[in-house]
Amino acid sequence: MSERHADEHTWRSPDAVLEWLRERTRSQFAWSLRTNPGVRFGGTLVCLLAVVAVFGPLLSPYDPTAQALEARLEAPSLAHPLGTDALGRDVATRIVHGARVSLALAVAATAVRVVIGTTIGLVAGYLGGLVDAALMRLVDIQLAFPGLVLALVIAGVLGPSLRNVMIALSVVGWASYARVVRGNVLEVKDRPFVEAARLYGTPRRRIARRHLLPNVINPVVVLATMNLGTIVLTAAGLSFLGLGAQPPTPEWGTMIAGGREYLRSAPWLVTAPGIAIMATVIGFNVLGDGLRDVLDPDHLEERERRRS
Amino acid sequence: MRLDVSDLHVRFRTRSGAVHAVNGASFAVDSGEIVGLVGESGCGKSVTARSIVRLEDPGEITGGSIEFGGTDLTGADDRTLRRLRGRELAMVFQDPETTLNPTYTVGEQIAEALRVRRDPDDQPFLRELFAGVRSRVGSKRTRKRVLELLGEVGIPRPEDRIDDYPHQFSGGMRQRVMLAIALARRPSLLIADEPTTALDTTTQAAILERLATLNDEYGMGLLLISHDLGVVSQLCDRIVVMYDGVVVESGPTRELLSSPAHPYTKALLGCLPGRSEPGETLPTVGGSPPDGSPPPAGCVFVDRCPFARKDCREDSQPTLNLEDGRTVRCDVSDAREADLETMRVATAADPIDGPGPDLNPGDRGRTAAVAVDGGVETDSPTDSTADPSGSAVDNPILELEGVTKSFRTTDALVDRLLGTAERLTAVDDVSLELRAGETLGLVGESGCGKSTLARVIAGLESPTAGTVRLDGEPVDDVDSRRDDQLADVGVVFQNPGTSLNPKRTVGESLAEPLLEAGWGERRRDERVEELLSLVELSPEYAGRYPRQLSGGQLQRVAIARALAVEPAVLVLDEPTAALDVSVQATVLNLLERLQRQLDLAYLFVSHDLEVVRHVADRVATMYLGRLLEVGPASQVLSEPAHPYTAALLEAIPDSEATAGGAGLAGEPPSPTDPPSGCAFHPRCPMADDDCATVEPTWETVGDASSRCHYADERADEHDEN
Repeated sequence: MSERHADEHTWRSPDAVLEWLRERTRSQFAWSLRTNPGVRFGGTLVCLLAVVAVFGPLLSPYDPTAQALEARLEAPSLAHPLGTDALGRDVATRIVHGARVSLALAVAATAVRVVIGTTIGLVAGYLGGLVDAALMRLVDIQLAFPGLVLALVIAGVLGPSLRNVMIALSVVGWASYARVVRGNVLEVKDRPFVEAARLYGTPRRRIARRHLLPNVINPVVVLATMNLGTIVLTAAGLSFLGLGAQPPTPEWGTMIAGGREYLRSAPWLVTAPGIAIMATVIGFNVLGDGLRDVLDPDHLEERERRRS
Repeated sequence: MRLDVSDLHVRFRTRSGAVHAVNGASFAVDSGEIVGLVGESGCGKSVTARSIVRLEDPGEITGGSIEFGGTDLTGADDRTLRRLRGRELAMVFQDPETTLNPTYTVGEQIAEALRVRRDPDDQPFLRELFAGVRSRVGSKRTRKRVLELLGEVGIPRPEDRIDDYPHQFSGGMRQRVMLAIALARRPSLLIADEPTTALDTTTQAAILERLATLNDEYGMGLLLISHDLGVVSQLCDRIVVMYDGVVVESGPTRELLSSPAHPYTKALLGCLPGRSEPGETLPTVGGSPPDGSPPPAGCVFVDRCPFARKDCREDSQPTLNLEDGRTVRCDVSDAREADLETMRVATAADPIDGPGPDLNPGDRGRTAAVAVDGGVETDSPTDSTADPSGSAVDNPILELEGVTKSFRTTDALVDRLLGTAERLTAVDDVSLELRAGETLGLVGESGCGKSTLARVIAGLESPTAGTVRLDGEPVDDVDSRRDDQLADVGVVFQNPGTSLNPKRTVGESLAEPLLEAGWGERRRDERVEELLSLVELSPEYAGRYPRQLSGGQLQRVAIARALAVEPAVLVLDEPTAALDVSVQATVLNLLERLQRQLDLAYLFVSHDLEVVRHVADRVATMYLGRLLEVGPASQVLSEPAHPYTAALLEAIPDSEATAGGAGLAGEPPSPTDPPSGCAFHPRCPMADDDCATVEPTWETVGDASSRCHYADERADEHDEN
């Protein structure tokens, strides 16, 4: 994330940007990013998924929703690498389109969670007192509800649709971000550099943005990465239950739900989306684990000490 | 038992290559002898100490031997090591905050050491499993022994404290407990790694004295590791000076201090502020400390040595034996014979250690030039900050009138509503003034309220009562100060590592105050460069992150930031306490120069009286939130009229190797419940009944004033002497 808080002076010319990039890739941080096995494996998996989601649909010759009843339940072949479903649609194409849906939903929901959670945590931790108490009770309330059940209720009340799943997943789960951020803010806000900023008259909002936020954002990045995987899983689950994406939208959860009747005769109908979900979740989790090692040096040192 | 370290090599494997911490250190500690091991931070002294008790992990011993009582520890198996650690070898670490287990009572932890001594080999698993459940101080005999040990290390009323937990003890008391744990094993050698660095001068004096007594009584050998030559010289029979993992000089304390042979020892001695006249530029060690790269072929000190010859770089220096048992690792006779005065001249010609090791020599020269020119040019703060009516020189810039600051000790709602919350008065009715170009030293033990007072002045806290005046106008905390009032006060914090935002480059950090003051980008960039040259750093430091800088460089950046908007007053809260002696010298010199150049007023908060004596024009002594004595530094620090100031002065470890002073008995009382009458009376050697009931008023003694009933009598005594 240090990239995001880069010095604005460096954006003057392309040369400067290049130089800055070169500097970046040579830094210790970039080095540990590149050599961390978790980041490498998880990152590769996630990048692969992203590429598939972006370019896959452009390359596929089939329409993910058009029915071709003459080619029902065909086993995997050269024409249909993952076979076809009960309505003759190419499973591979639907998986690729489903990746778009799942990833977009996960990214959007996580973004909303991060923004809400980080803001609340930052405000609560920095202002303290009554504001802190009130906001943290709100967090407690949110954490007291089991996330999936709450999402189920919201999706159920609002009616089944992909948009409502996204809303449901956005309003639950920000609480953990708020907690993590608040804890770190409490630790950072009394450091002398924050006091120094007060001394030369920095307004509170700017202290929060320039001095607190960059110093508390690392765990948020880790948490968000791991969360992406969970959201993909939850969204698929809700769709499987019929609360999320509605047929014929190509969505992994819906695909499993549609394929479970043919489990005996056409196992590829559930296996393919199942594996897609698994790969996504594993990819994000391993990446998150690796990021934690890189972003939290104390944690890493501890592990190295134990190993030696 | 005799400890014999010979040709010890220790290195650490890190991701960016091996760090060579110890490169062939050799020295010995005879049984019953006190040996001091000194050097700057990073010279390998702590690693050496840890290697002796074989706690060098994650480092590895790659060569040499450590013989202790005939056993080579480098090859000893776990069983032998356990026996030795249990009975013969003990270690005391630097930080008493973290070395005691917070979940056991201190008695329990001492008892554990006693049990390990009884049978170091018998550690049955089942018993350890229940160790936390069953108290070890249960048996009468153990309890009696633990009480004896607590008494031995000087903890008052041990029977009341034995069942207390570590957090209920102060830092000094915790260090005593650590000492008791070490002594429980009746070791024949105690290794103390900076045992007093984290403590107050007064507490330090008491601990050192205790160590000396123990050495006397039990004939326990002691390896005392410290960066402070003063501490070492007070106690030690012999001193070993280490540099970059190599012993450069060793010898009996008196001879080594009076006629040091190695240029590094000379430089270290010269850095001590107590050795120079107040206000004089301190000699410094040029260049930067070693960075753990593989040792060079020649002399390790060559890059920083003013006497270095060409062949010093190529040829390894032989260890020479001088008369009276000294050894020195330097072959240049000019360097060995040069006295401290010559060193002073030699180092003064050397560029100060501003630029980092990776700058080429050309850059270095240029920086020095810029520093001088730029400094003179910027020397015109009158336009924006100084009072237009500045002609009235007598008007103090900063005035404190009856300033009091108290905190609630509990945040409980019930207490708040009932108003029953105890209040801690950190600063009590303090009146002071500060004029342009003047340095006021504020001294006292930790917890006396000096930092709180500095924070009130800076505006980080608003006073509970009394007024702070800047340029004659009363001000409150930062949120209500006007921009020009904010610009008037700069603050430098104690720990430069935490006072800069780790996520912003040096340049960005320096530009922050300018940005808030509304400067344009171009002007900001210029000013940042100017500020860097003002603190003798080259402009390229603007692009670096704080983690890439050393402690001394960070403190320079922090000073530059405090100066950014041309303040009239600089509040310096222990600015050199976290730095090495040699780095301290360069920072003090820098502050001295800046004050002359920019006509700044300094409020210099410190617990180190030697430093204060060096920099301050006037001194104020603080105790339990109250001022006890205020006056010119020359008078207060030589003929103190208050017994507290006298006690503080006595506690200074003397580098002239005299016997330690009596020190100050006991610890400061709790500020929530200050003593009646004179706050100092419970610890005062001359207190009588009056002192316990009547609070003394200010007495004028010469140019100073003192809050003691007997100030006049003390002054008379000084006159007679």
